[in-house]
Amino acid sequence: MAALLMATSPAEAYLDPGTGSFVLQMLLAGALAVGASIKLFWHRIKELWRTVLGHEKSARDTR
Amino acid sequence: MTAAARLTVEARRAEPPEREFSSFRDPSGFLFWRDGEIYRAVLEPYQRQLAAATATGLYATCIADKLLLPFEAVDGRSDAGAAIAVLKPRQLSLITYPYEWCFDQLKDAAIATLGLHLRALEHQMILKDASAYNIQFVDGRPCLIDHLSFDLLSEHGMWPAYGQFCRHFLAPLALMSYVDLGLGRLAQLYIDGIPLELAASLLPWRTRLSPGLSMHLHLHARLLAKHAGARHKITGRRLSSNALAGIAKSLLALVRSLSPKNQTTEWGAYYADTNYSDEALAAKQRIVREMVALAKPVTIWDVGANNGAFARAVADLAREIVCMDVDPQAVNANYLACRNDGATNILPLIADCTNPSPAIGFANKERLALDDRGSPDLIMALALIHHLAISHNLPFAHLARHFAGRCEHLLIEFVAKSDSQVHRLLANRKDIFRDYSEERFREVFSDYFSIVLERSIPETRRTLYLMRRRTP
Repeated sequence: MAALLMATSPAEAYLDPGTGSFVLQMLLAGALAVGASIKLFWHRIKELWRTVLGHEKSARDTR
Repeated sequence: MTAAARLTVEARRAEPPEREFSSFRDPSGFLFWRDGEIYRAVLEPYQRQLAAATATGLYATCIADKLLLPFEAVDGRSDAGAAIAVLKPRQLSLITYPYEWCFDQLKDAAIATLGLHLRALEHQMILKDASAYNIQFVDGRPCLIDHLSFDLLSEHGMWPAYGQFCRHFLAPLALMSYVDLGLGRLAQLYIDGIPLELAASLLPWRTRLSPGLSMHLHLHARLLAKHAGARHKITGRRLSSNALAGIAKSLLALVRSLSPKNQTTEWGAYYADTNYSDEALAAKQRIVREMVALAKPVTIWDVGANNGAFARAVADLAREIVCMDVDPQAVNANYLACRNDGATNILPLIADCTNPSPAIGFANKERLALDDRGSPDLIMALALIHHLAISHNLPFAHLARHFAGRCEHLLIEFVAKSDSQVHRLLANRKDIFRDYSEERFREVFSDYFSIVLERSIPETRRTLYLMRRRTP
């Protein structure tokens, strides 16, 4: 997801009164990509934590 | 070809098409009138886009989801010069403008616009225009009427309509949410949307703490100002479809989070403060239904409709009812009630009959005055005349002439001076309204209308009149 959001290729544009909107879109795309990466990272940490806890729990249950 | 179809074709050949004045911005095509119906001519620059929107199923999806006005391709190219195609959209009886919509109408129109953009992205296309004027309320729901608003995604590195969306939708919604419900009317002053710098300066400081508003509005306004003067060529970047969808979804979440400002308005709680008993209100409803059934109108304009209670009471007796009221909260309550009931033939609008929407835009012809956009078969003016005549000092003759110029039938409620609500109006002002009497009312209105039916409302000092315009 993050890789897709960051996927950009060069394009040409003229600065005009709407240039600020284009600049902001670039910033937003970057911020959204970072946000998506953090979300993914956090999700993986949670998954890992669950797995570890699950192993400990099953180890206790079998004692 | 049937005889009727042959006649239609002959009529079209006989009369040259008239190009719609306001349709001059887009090189992709233009609107034209033929025999009182509107058509859209598609020009060569839009050939690939028209083919793509059709072949990818984008048009079909959007029409099925009721987000795009249905249309049919017709053979009318000889009418439209160099057109590569002619589209005949479903005909609308009244065009309305964003500054006449209440908060939730504008919010739903914004959500529909973003929904169209997201659907376009799924079909490798993009919504190149996000003008609120391209949306109309059809069967109660917001619907895109400009079939040439889609472009190929490959032609764009960014969303070209992002700034326009924020000016046309986000800025007025934020202002109505945080400052005052009446600020939607600001859009009437700025035909291409409320400048973001202006909106940012009017919004309270705490809106900078909202992540969505701080990005899409405050930072947006600063970046626009920062880059406005530059004129040199830059190397830009091309955002992926997912990145563009991410921005649209972020806007969608922000718009969905906004709610109308909770404020006390003049007419917002009207029906909690009337002098009607339940029986009198039920009797009034019965008489209104009887009169509407007698007039058999196709279209009704309910002027001073408040929350549309009486429009809903006669909704089954007309094809279309436009409810007009000056109070943004009452109109919002009406819209939400219609939306919840699934009412498809009632259109609530913010309109002040003492100061209706004027003609604006280039040559004052781009956006028409409300009265030049349509006229109903029947006008309902319930519990209104005392406000117009006493609060606004409008003479009976002005009112009678105005109504007679607009409709065939008039259903009007006369409220006597002895009514407690009129006492309230006169409580702190000098009674200079010597002519305000039922006798004088009948006399003046009889110059323009003949009285078809009159009924006193039991337990009140009010009378309902059904009048028919005299033929000149």
